[in-house]
Amino acid sequence: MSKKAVSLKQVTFKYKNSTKFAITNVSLEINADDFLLLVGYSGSGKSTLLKTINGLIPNFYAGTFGGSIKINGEDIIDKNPAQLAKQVGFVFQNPENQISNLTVEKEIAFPLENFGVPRNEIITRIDELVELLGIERIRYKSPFSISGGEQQLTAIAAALALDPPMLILDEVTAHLSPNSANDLLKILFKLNQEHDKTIILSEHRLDRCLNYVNKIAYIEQGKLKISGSLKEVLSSKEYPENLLPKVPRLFYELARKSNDFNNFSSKFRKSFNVENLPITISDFKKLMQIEGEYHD
Amino acid sequence: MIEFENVSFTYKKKDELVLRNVTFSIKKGELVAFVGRNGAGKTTLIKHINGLLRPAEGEVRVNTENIIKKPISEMAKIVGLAFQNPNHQLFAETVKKELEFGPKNLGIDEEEREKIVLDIAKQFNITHLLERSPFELSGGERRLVSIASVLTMNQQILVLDEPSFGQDYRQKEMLGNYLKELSDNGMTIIVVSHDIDFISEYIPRVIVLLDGEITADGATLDILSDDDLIRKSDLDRPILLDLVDSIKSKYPEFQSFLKETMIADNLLTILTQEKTKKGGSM
Amino acid sequence: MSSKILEYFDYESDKSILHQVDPRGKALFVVVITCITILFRELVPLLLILGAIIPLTFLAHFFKKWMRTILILLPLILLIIIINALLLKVEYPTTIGIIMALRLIILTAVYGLFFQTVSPDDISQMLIKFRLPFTFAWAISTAYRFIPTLANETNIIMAAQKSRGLQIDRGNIFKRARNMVPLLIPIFASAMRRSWQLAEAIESRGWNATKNRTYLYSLKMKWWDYLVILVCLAIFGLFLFLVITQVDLPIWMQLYIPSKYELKELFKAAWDWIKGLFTK
Repeated sequence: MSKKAVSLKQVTFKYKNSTKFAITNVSLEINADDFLLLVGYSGSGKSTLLKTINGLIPNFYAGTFGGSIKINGEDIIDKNPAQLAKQVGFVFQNPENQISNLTVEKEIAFPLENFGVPRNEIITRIDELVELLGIERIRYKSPFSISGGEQQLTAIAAALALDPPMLILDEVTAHLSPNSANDLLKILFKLNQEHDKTIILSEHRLDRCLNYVNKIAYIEQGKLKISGSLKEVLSSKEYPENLLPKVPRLFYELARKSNDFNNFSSKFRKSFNVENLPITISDFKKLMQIEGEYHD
Repeated sequence: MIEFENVSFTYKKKDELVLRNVTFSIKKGELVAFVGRNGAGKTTLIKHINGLLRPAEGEVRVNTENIIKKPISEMAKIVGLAFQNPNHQLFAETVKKELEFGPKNLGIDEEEREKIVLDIAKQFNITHLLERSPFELSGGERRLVSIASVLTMNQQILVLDEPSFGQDYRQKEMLGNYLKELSDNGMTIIVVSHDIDFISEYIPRVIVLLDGEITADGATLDILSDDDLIRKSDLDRPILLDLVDSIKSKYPEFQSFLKETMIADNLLTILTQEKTKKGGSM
Repeated sequence: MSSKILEYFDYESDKSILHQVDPRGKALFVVVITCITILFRELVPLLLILGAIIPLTFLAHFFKKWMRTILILLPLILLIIIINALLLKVEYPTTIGIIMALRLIILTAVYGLFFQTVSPDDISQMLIKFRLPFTFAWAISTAYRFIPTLANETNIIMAAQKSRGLQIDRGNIFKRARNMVPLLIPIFASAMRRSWQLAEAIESRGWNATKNRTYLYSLKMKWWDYLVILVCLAIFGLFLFLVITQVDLPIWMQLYIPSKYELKELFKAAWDWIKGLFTK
């Protein structure tokens, strides 16, 4: 049994001046070694949920809050985001609007300065982070002379500066070109696998994440509908069809249509049972090879 | 109809050309995507279509007429252009006033404006939003309002910069189908996008820009299957292409498609034929 | 033109001698020269100050940029001279006009030198050294950080509204003012959104976590900085001494434009000559 990193119990929040609850009774456990993908339509409460984990809600946004949130077993309700910065790193959607310093290096130093870390330690930490994220080249550059992908890597470096065990990323690839988005996901995977970071990511481009995440949580109109392993969630009836990644979608399509072709054996049809749901392309290839045997 | 003939452009004299010898032609009712890495010149190019920028060399023709002398306010009646972020153009107190803005700029009287607004709202299915403030709408609704608000002058050409940006799957589907419908009804639509999945699903023709030059122009599937081109242009390979390739290695007669439904049909048909060939019974 | 004026305030990351001087020394220099320039009412001392500053602009690699700024300001400079020369009811109005213009020229050089050689970060560090709260210093450098973003965004918004048929420079002044609304509202809305997002971000990066904030870079005075300060104070002291003791400046320093070359007279002569052409 792996260590619990986050545990949400019955978390509910309504923004001040809003009539609707943004999230209602969300209970969710996240393990220390998880790479969790949070999925849902725009406006379903993904951002709100993520912001409860680093204390922006209810400390920065006014509103009605209910429930309990524990990080590493410790209740965080009365802690503000600054106090939590050592436990949770947060990266936002818009790369440009989260960088306030005039060089990449100074942006990474900013959280360390805020915590009064001595200068020589700050420099060592910057050395480590630019190497880890592969941004040595842009260390002394100004944030507006670098690409969106590099800006987002800078923001990740700043979020990691205090070495929090957990990183939360709110649709961070939205502003990036496809290749930089893919590169960024690879780096997150590396952080999860090699540096033991818990990663919580909300993202619209599901297909590109499937090779990296181990868990999915689906949220709809502020309610957590289902969470668990990829297979569990994507084969569940709670999960909406038009948010399916391409491969499972094709699988369901084949399953449905194979009924119209009545010259297939029942054995063949059985291979389209949800138990065999392929998630990635290699899963699908495997399935196809099994299916090949039915012909001979 | 839009034609570019040897169009070149530079922001500063000394600097390199942002567009060089760009030549293409888009027929009425076509739905075309411009793709390419950041800084390839896509946004510069679309700004030429309504005269926001003028070519340093070459000619831009819209409906066979050279537009070099036409003011932007005149072009606004022919071309609707919406930029990536709706927040950069929405400003009025209500959606209705937002929609009225264009016709008002052209000096159309109130009665006529009222009619135009109701028409366009109906067309975009946003009639229920007319009295609301554009600032309190959801992202998807704002996108629709921003597109509707540039199409209030009965233009036959629509240019969109990153229309699927920040949209979830459901919103993209709605937008994609909507663009298709508009183009079926004769509207010429040009889209600038990075979103390969969106393009592969809804847009039949792709033009690739690289360093201000057109490097490819053709059917979406052909362009997106060109790995070399995809890599050079900082684009994604569509997920399903890998799948299609693996199916093809087993069944060479399999045809490439980029839609799940068509892949499924194609695959099942082949499997059935194979079975009949082998004389297998039910 | 407006963007060119902004360019004038741009910091150039350069390694000139003047870049090596501590911003506090340079700030003192700016204050001293500003005081002296404003208080001197004679032509020659101002010319001497100008003469002393020109080498500095070369040292900071600022001369060309300064000249470009002067060129942009040339109409204004000429206007100052002409209006003063024609309208002032004093003995030597043209001299006064030239003095006014000289002040403007000197001040553009001095402030330009400062902004050219002091990075926005150094400005905020300097404010911290002057014991201003960090929040204030941070706000200054961040405001600077977002200037290009804002400029870029304004361009996009302008293009977007023009594409909807907005003609910004049409009609009378009231109409034009009204035409700004579709530009200003998105600009403000977006600035609000940005400041909100920025606040979220710095909050998540441990803003105000401790009272004893450290700094990756902070200013340190070198021996030459003390020298610069000493020289500035000496100049200022000398000037104060002159003011307090009310010593008369030597005659050669009290030079003025002789009345036969007053602009008014020259204009009049030219007018008479033109009239003469026609009456013949």
